[in-house]
Amino acid sequence: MLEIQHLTKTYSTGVKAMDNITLSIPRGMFGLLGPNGAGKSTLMRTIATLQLPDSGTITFNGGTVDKKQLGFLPQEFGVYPGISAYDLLQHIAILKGIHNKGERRAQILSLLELTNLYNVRRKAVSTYSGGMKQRFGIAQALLGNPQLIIADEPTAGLDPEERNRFHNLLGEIGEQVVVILSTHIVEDVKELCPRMAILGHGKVIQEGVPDELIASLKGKVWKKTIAKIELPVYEKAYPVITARMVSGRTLLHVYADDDPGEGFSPAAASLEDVYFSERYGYAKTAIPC
Amino acid sequence: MLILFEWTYQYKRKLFLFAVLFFGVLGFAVTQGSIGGPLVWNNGPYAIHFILCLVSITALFAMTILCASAVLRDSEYRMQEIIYATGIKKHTYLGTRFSGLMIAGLSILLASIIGMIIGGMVKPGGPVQVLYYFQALCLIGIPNLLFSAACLFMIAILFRSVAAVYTGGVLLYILYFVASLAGNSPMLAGASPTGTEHTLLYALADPFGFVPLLAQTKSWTEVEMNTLTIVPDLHFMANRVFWMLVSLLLLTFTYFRFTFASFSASAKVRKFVVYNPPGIPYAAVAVTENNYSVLLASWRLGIKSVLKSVPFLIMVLLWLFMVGMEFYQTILRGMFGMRFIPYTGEIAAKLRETHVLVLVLLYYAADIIWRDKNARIHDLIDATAAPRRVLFLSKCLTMITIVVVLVTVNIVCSIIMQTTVGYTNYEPGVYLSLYYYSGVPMIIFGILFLAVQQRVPNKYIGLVLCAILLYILLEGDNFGLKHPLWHFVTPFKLRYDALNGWGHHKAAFHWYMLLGVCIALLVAGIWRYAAGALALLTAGYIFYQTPRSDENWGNVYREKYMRYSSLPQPEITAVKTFVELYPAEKRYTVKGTYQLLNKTRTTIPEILTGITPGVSSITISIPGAQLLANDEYYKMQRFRLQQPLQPGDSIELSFAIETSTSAFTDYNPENSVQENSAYIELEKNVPYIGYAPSLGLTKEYDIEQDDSTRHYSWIQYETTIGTAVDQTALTVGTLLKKWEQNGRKYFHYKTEQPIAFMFALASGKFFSKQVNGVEIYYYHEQNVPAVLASALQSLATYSKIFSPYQYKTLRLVEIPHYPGAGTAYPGIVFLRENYIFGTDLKKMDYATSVTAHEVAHQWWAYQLEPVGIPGSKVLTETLANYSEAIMTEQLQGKDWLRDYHLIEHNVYISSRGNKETPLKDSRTEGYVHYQKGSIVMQAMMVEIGTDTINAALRSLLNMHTRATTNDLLSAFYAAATPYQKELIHRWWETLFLYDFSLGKASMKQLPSGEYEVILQVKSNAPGEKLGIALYDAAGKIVYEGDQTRIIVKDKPAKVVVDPDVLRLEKNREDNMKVLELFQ
Repeated sequence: MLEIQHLTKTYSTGVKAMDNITLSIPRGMFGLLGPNGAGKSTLMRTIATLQLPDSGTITFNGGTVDKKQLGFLPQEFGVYPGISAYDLLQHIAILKGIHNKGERRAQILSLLELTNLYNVRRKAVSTYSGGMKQRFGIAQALLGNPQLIIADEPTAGLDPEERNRFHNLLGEIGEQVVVILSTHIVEDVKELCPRMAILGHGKVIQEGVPDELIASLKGKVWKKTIAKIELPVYEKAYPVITARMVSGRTLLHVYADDDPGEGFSPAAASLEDVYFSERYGYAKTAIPC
Repeated sequence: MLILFEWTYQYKRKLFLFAVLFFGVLGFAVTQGSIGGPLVWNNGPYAIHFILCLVSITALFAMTILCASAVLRDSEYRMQEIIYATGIKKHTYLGTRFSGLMIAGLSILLASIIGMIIGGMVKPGGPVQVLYYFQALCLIGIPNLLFSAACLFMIAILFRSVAAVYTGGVLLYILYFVASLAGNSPMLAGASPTGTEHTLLYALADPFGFVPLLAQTKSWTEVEMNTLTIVPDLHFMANRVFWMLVSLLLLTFTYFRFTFASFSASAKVRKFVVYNPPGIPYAAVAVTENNYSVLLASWRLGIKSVLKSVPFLIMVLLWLFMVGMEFYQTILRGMFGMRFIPYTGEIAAKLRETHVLVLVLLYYAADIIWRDKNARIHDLIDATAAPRRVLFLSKCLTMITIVVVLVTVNIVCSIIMQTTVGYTNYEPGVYLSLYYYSGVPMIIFGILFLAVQQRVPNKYIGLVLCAILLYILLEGDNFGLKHPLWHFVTPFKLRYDALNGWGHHKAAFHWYMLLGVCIALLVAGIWRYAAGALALLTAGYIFYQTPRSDENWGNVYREKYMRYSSLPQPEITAVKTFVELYPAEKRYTVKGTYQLLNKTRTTIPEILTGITPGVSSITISIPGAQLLANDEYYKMQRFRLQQPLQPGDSIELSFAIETSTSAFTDYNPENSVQENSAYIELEKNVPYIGYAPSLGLTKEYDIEQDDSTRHYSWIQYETTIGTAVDQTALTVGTLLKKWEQNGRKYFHYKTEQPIAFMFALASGKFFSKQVNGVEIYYYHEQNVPAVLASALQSLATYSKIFSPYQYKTLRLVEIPHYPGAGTAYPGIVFLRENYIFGTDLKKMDYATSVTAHEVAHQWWAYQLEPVGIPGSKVLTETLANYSEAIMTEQLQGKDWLRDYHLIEHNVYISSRGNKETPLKDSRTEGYVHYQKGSIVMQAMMVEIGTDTINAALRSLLNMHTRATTNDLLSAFYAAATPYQKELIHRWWETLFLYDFSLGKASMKQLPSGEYEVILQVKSNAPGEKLGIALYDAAGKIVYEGDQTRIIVKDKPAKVVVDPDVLRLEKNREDNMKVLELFQ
């Protein structure tokens, strides 16, 4: 159980990256959804003890976060040039504290297989493609015995098949430990996370179980298919949540407590609607967790 | 358009900006030095061409790096397919790449020119003439740039590999140096001046145009260097055109060899094999703490990334090469062409001094600390449980490893060099000690740098701070941080000698290293408190042990006591001493008595005594005298005698002193007691009477020693020296007795006749030999026979031509580290270890002539003592050089002597300054009484005759025990013809400098088959006959004489005026002409 209480952080540039964030994260997968600049990375790096908050506390299972329990995949990272995946995993594994040779080897090989890097394990990581490097990042995060896995945008750059594989992998491990996953891809959260939070401007805007959040929008999302050129008119007149192209025409989702008429029909709310309506601040009433 | 892109590509790169900055600073820095002499303007055309030549050779390195990155960037970034797919034309592609490289190189040169212009304004020279810079750029800069670029571009395009470009660049550089070494290029400091003949081939061989530039300007005066525009002569022009053509040829070759296809063909296609993974299921693995294994892993990774990197390999290669150069240029060569035997200790001491490697550590400290951040892997590493402290420690270990590798490279290189010159006594122990004496200071530097880098927010701030730290630690003296604790990493220059190993400072060095290691541990965070406490204690101990230095001592002493210089004082007429040497404790005590005789015409009521400030304690007592004043700091004591000393009366003074030559004091080779050897010029370290002008000397205050302040005459000397039981003590006088007592050895010496006030002593574990009254004490066997032979022959010859030798024996003693090559005392000569006993006499025998010189001082100092007025050095050194010349001609031959005189001639010409006096009045200017003296005496031998000179010297010895140069000249004049008198006057009493040259020289064959040569010799001394020699094509002399119309049988090829170097002349180059048959 990870308890985050009143975290704040203001950078020297004046940007308020965390503004009194309080979250309680149980065992299992936890999705952090939010646009770029919402403070996701700052929050995750703070949990990983890579940087200090201005104020607030983080406790994990009653104590402070111990790096021995940590698996961290940063949003961006590089590697030493010319060192193979196997060697680099070896190195990181030792730094993490896996000192038994046999165990270390077994775990590295299993992770290489899980991340589908087994065949390229002797190649320098610096020559990997973006997706391969991302998979390497996942592998290193899972080294050892992580109790708290923090993955910042883990699926960025992965193709659908790789993403799928990653989802399965996390789903398996995520039942036993705390996994915090930040993403701006709604699908990731929908598929994986029993709980989630939406972050914006350094604040927690919404927190809860995805289904409950969706249920809270029931009857408030309306759809209509229009021509593309009509979009500006509609955007002026209605609180548009999403506008998607479907077979060459535009499918509008708008937010309204009552039927806006004008040919709108009720739509089944999705997590995406939750995310975007929160993002645009349409839902004024906070939903109790 | 593409060129613009190339330009912006270069321009935007940090590397390029750095190179531009570096060369700007380089241009500035070079102008702050001296180019071609003190009077040559650093912004005159000569200096500009010279500097730009140097810069363009140095730029080869920058070009190598820029070429590797710019030309090869497609393949490195795997862009080649994209580039080739654009359908770009071959000539456009190659053209833009090459011009990009040229523009980058040009920018570097322009940056250095701007630096030179600014430098020329800072250090005033002539007016700034942009045209000169432009000319140098066109004549030197651009052609050299084109050549470097063409070579590198060809390698880059044809080999397609960064490593090949680097290797090519380094090889080109090495090749250039090896070639210039082989060709004896003037560029290299140690190479002798260029040969007299400049062939076109020689001028053409230098791709950077240095040789023809120097050849053309060789005879230029300073004024010409400052003002004459350099219009390239035929050789120079040919050189430039030739290498431009070569460059174009290389480019053409590159163009035709290049195909786009060659790229893809060379791209490696690797077969992709699919392996079946072992199918191990993922399971969490327990983590434990094991700092040791973390340390090891991080260290291993650190080393791997340093040692396997291309720059490191290049650096090592370059260093190997530089050490090699250093080895041949300076380690093996000394003044007058002497060649040192490459004793391991000598090499080790020289290698230890080089601080260049510390700059490498500066770079690697930044590299090691910022590697994670640069690789952007720091988040992954920081998120692991590895303690920061352990990671930092692993970086320290990496640094230590780098140092060990560098020291090993030094050692391997030295061993290779020793082997190449046929020396095989490698002394592994001495080499191993380098890991301590050279390695530990470097490690301390390295860890300090790491600690700085660890604590700063960015690499470049760290580099700047480290550079500042390094500057303070190495050069803190420059701004007042004079205490050796400020430079605790490199507190002293360590010397090596065969007897004492790392010598005088060794014990103190250990303390400094302890301090350094404690500080390193402190900053590395290991045993922080213990290390800190120990560092404080050590620093305190060192501070306590280090004597305070007082720059003002001499000035205050002079102000306080010079007024006593005219005080009537008695003279020392007899000295008795009892010296106890304690080698293990590096100290000695002296107890002694002086007989003081009032030689003045007045009574002497008070006696003033003093001693050098180096002594630890002194007590002086004069029976019945009352101590009036005791100045402990300036070590002066004033006594009132019970009864004033009447003229002609004597009184006894007794003294006891103790002197410590502790490892913390500055090394004074003339007053040193070490473990296995001691050398003390005792007469300088016992009490003196009155005021001592030599102690009141400072740089700006420079007076002659004169007789009025000296209160001693020739003395009777008796001494007993006690030393360690396994050592032999040697000094002046006859050995009366030696015995062992209380585990020590004692030697009792006494002079049989009065000697000058000179009584140095030496002690050591010597081997010895005796032949016919000549004893030699040594520890290097190799040159002993030559030294002994020279001493024996010299004694015999001088006794015959001057006067009999005055003592029963002559002792020759090998001593370590002496400022000169040797020094003579009455009946005993001390010779320096490396100059005399550590040189290869087969290559250059300097030992024979130095021995002859020092033996001659038994006459020209100890039979004829000069009066202390200007010219006194002439009576000792010039006459010793003359005696030496007689011996070397006899022992080593006329050719050897002529070559030696040529060196002396050149030393004189290059040393002359505004303090020069006529030879007769020479004071402190060594080039007058040594070098000019040598040449003048050689000329005297030819013009006046050896017999006449020797007769004059014999009469001088007969008539005087103390003399002046006036006495010498009177003796010479007395035997001279009017013409000879004119010459003697010109050589001894004026500053006249010869200037003559060969005008026309024509040769034709006479009907008889003989050859007639008619010469026109221009001279500023028209009345003098000059020596003329004709040589045939094989270099054999076919005529020697002074005629200008010569008929010879064999066909001459060359004519030289003054072939035997008998005249001092500014420019000897125009004394030679090649003769061609006139049809």
